[in-house]
Amino acid sequence: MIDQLNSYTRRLLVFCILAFFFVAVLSVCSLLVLSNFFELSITTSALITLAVSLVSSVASGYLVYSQASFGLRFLAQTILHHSSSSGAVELPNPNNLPASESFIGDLALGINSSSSAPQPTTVDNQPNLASLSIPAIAIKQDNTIAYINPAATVYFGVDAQKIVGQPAFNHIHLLFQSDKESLESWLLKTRGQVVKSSNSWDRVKSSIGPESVRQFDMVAHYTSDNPEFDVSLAFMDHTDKYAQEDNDVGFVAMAVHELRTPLTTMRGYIEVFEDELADKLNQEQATFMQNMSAQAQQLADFVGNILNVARIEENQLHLRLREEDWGQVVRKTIDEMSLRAKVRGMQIQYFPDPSLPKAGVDKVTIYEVIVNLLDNAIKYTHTDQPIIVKTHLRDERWIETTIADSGTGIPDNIMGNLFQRFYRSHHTKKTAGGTGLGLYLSKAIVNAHGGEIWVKSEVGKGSTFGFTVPIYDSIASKTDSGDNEEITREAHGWIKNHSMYRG
Amino acid sequence: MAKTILCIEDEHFISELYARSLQKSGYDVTIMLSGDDGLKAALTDHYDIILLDLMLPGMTGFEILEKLRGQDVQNQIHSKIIITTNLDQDDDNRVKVESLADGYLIKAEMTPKQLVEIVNTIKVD
Repeated sequence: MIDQLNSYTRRLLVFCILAFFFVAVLSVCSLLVLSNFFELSITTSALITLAVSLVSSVASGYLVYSQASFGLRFLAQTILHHSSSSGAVELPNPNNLPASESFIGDLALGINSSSSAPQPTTVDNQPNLASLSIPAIAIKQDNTIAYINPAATVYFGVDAQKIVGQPAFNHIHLLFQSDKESLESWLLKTRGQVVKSSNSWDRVKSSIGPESVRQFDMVAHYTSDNPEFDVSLAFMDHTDKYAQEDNDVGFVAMAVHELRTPLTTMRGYIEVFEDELADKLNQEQATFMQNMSAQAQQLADFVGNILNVARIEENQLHLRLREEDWGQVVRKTIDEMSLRAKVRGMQIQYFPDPSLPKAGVDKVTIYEVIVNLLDNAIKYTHTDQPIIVKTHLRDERWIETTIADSGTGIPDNIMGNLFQRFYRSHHTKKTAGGTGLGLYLSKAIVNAHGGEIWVKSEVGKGSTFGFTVPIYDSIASKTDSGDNEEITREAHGWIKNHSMYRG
Repeated sequence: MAKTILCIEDEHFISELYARSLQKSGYDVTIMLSGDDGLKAALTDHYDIILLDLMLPGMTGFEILEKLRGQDVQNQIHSKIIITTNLDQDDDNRVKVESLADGYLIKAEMTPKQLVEIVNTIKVD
């Protein structure tokens, strides 16, 4: 087919060149004959030649146009025939095609066969659902099942005769990711509000019996003008793929658990020593104790990073965007990092913009971005210059935060790879520890918030990292305000507000 | 009267550290090192707060949580149940814990003193 297409376009090109050549030769001949044989003046000869070339151009142009557009019109007519529900456009007859353009007939045949194939996202009636090879269900306005196709009865292990007419969600239990809207709440928002709408979900689960769980992506199509049913659902199975990803994250979670247990104990004992030996330790011993505490805290953050990288890799980083006082979020993180800066003889100075609007962020994950950027600034700075943190309103949608150090700086040749996983330069490896996970993680978290992260740096003078987070008002519709009122979340976990004296 | 806390935690060092800090702040702390003993204690005596680890020998923390907050009316207690764990939860368990527990704390992310600060904010019935 491709060879035939290439041959066709080559023929068109030759045809165009010949037409141009014909007009040019005709014009030159006309000029020579008129001026030499008829001894007409140069002006008259030129005018007659112009008229001859005009007529010949129109004639040859028409011939090229007919040749080139015939196939195009044939294909367009075929497509219009299939897209027109009333059949207003007739299907062209392939017998009218010249033998040299038979491949256009083959292309049209391809269009004919693909248009008769099932269209999973636009299922509007039962025959279409029945012919789908993937599971599909049609739901009526009262949420009862109008139709379930044979693939879906096998997939969900149900008997069509028993469940048609029954409440859909009593028989097909769909579990959505905790940070995603459920099908039922989407339907509540959609029914009666719009004529047509579609939505899709990934990683939906459904239990088939006590031991078996199906995992799939789901597409829902709502149309208010179908009297038989208003919602059709199609399911794309990914049980094996998602189970494998869950196992990968599960393994990391278990390894992290094993690391965290001794870490919890170490942090506990360090705190006991700090409290109870404070007045017995000399200056040097007290400094050692502080160093140990800062290192244990750093290790705890790193272990948290490993877990989050695993979540990102498997697309399981779920954000809970909430309305937050951004100035306070940054202030609190700086306070928690102050010990780590202090033990390295560093200072963090904070210049917040007091007039910032509220930010729409997941406080727990965005905290890790600030921690990682501050941790880098502390690690790579070997001067007594303070680290400067600033926040400001970048535009009507974004708050920008910058963290500037006067450290070693980053060479130009590694700037492009800086936010990649496990990427560290030989330059920095000599002078500071680290794994190269922090910036990769920070970028993923900032991007998941819709923001961007950037860096400016000069070797020997220092680096400035900046990132943006959205203003709450710009993303208010994506947040779940209900949870905001019920649960107080921090990096160490959450407590339900009704269980707290304040909250 | 001192508030009572049942700490169900199989890691001896951690339970010892938590008990020490909480007792210094005036709480009456009982430690149970296994899930079965923990559940028995939770059902026998009334505690204001239960600190419940999830990975336990015998009965797991999840099973205890479901027994204490499940449908069985006989087992329902009024203690505040705070999960203390180092195990990251998958989506299903996260939803389950959020629906049944009053709080969820990652042990490695806090020191015993910070735990006391958090426990101080918990309102008991």
